[in-house]
Amino acid sequence: MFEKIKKEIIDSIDSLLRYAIVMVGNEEDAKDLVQETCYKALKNMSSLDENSNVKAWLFTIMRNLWINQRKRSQISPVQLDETIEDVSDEWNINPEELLINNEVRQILMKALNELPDAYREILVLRYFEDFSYNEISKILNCPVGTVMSRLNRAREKLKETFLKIYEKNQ
Amino acid sequence: MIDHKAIKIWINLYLDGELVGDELELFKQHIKECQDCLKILKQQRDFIDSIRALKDEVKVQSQDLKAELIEQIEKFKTEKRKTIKYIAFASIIAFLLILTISFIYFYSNRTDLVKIAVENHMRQVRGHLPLEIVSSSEAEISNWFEGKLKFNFRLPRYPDPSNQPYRIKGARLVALNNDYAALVSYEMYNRPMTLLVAPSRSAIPYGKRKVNFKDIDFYLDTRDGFNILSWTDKGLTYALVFDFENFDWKKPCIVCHSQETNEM
Repeated sequence: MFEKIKKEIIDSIDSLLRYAIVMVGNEEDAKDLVQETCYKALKNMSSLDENSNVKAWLFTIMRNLWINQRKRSQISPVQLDETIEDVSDEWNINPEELLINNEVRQILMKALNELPDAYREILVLRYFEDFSYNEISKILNCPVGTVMSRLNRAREKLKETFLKIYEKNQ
Repeated sequence: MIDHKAIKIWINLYLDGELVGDELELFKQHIKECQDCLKILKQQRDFIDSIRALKDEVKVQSQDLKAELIEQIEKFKTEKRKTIKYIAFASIIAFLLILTISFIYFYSNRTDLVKIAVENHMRQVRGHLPLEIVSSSEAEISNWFEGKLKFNFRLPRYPDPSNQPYRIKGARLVALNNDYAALVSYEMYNRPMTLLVAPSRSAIPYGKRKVNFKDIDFYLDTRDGFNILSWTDKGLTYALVFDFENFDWKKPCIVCHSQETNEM
């Protein structure tokens, strides 16, 4: 069983690193966080059983480590900007265009990075890592309803931030 | 009829694969019929796909880190195995230690009854251990011991009393391992003879010569000029001490170990 878990840890390294970079903001700290996550996971492998969701478990470990680091740095942890302007449902950029148009892609990336941590985090977990609402609720240690509402706000906020930057650049 | 405010939430749930059951069916039916909602669905799908496309934007040179982590995982595996080996080794040592201590404890608690029997015989002969009951009756002595010992001990009667080769003088209690043992004093060929009886869990028979008689091992030994016959039977260890030569050890043994034995 341990060999299977180890394989899953190795398979999750890229995802963990991606999540860490988006959340931490720099490559070096992200790598340290991944390393610490893997080490802690290896030490606690015996707490898992064969049906455990190893990937979600790894993300939970990483998130807890990250929050603890932030507490040590005396930076307030997850903070949400609850005021979201009424954003239009309009989205006239299709994914193909995004792939071709590097400028638009960079603006969306910038908008994502400007989001509050809690919004950025939930978007990464859902759309980069494909975690279900249930898995996200376990990682974030919050009810599924909160996942649903926070995800809605995160999408709206991303759209709003994107449009602001986009219009400014035009 | 679906509320158009609710449809926006349903669109996101649908795109996230979280809309199920009747709501999913209702939603699909509505989308087929409502062009406005279909348009919103398509736009929201494009938006979400755009977010997904950003995944590839997060590029990290992770080969070195991955190699390092895999190495660490392998190293951890080795340490884990070493730990298991150490635990297994420590467990075996602990087991052997417990076994040795138990063995020592068990045998240290089992007294060499032969040695004690000789000492008691000498003290009894010298008058330092006066008898607590003076009687030649097996029944009387057996009754006297009742309630005084933690084990059941009754003197057997010689099969043929008219030809009994020994005479019972009396009995007393003697100390043994913080408890009492039974001492019975006899006379045979006008010489004193004592029998010491203790539970076999705390006393062992001993002798350089071993003789098997009626499935019991009898040990014969000589110490300080005395002959000692010791044996274990039915949870009790016996040591008979005497000083005369040409002792026919079968004669007293017949008391208990012949077929005609009558217990008192």
